[in-house]
Amino acid sequence: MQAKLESLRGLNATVLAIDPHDRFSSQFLLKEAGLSTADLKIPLLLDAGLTASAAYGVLFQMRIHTEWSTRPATFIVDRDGVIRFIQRAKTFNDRPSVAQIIEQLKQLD
Amino acid sequence: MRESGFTMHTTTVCRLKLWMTSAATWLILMAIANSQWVCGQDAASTLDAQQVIDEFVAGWDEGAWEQEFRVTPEKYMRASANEDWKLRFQAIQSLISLGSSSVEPLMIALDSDNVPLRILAAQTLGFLNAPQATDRLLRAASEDGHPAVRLYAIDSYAMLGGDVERLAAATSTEKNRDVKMHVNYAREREAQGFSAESIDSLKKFSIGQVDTARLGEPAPLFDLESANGGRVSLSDFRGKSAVVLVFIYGDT
Repeated sequence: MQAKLESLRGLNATVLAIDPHDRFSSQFLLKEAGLSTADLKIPLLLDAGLTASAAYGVLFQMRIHTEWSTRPATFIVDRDGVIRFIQRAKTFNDRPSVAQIIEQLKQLD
Repeated sequence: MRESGFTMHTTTVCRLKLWMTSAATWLILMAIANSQWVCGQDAASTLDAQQVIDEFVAGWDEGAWEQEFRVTPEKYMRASANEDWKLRFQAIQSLISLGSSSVEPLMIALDSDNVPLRILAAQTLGFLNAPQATDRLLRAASEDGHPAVRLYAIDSYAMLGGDVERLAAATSTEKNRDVKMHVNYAREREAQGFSAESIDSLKKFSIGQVDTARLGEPAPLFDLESANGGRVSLSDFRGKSAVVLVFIYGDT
């Protein structure tokens, strides 16, 4: 994980994770996983108002646990603030690999 | 509809006030300022909250909602083309923006036969400053026939500072695993509601920005609090670094 993050830094890219939970829920979930915010390797941004999730079109309705969920999704924004890659998941494990992300980042410049 | 008489009355009075204002008959208006006939801020907003609820119910296809669930295997997420989340997001944002005047119509909505509306009401009450809703939410938490309504009622009850021991007693016969988990969750929450910042960001958000992320176009800007403290804006990286945004899966 750390090595992969280093290689992303070498490509002049910053990784931001966006979490739909509020501060309490986010900390509760980290605690359940045996972690704390000190263990976070990348910024975990709290989108409790779900505004970023709504703007990026990753909210959806699910009837399994609750009604309001965010789908896993990856976006690459270049240095000019333009979106260059979008993947919104259709299943829970539907994510681009780190290699794919690095490949995308190499194509930016 | 239970509220129709009240709604009509309020509309008439509001129109009357508008007419009087435009005719500059301030003197008469002031003379009745303390009477029940004046359209106060709360009455006007109650009307708006009811309109938001009515639009949500009218726009929501409950049949399709049920049907889609049946044909969708649980391991798959609903199609991203499905747009019901936009209707829902807009309704929640409008009701929260209206503030305290949304509380009463939402408490009435908890009695509706419409399941998606009851879910919306149970969830939205938790974002409002509505201590008067705790008893009604406690009843929904223990008696509602739909687990999602019970689950959100539990969350909202805890966020509004309801007594969690009463909640634990009222939900002691709960069978649904997820709902039971939220009772435990409520115990630890210790009445922490949503931060004023989150509510504020939701109120300020322009509905026109919903679902505007497109390939080759400027990324929608955001400014969010970080779990480690401080804030991060997408614009912080402009001209400096590319950004990989990783939205994690989550239920809220």
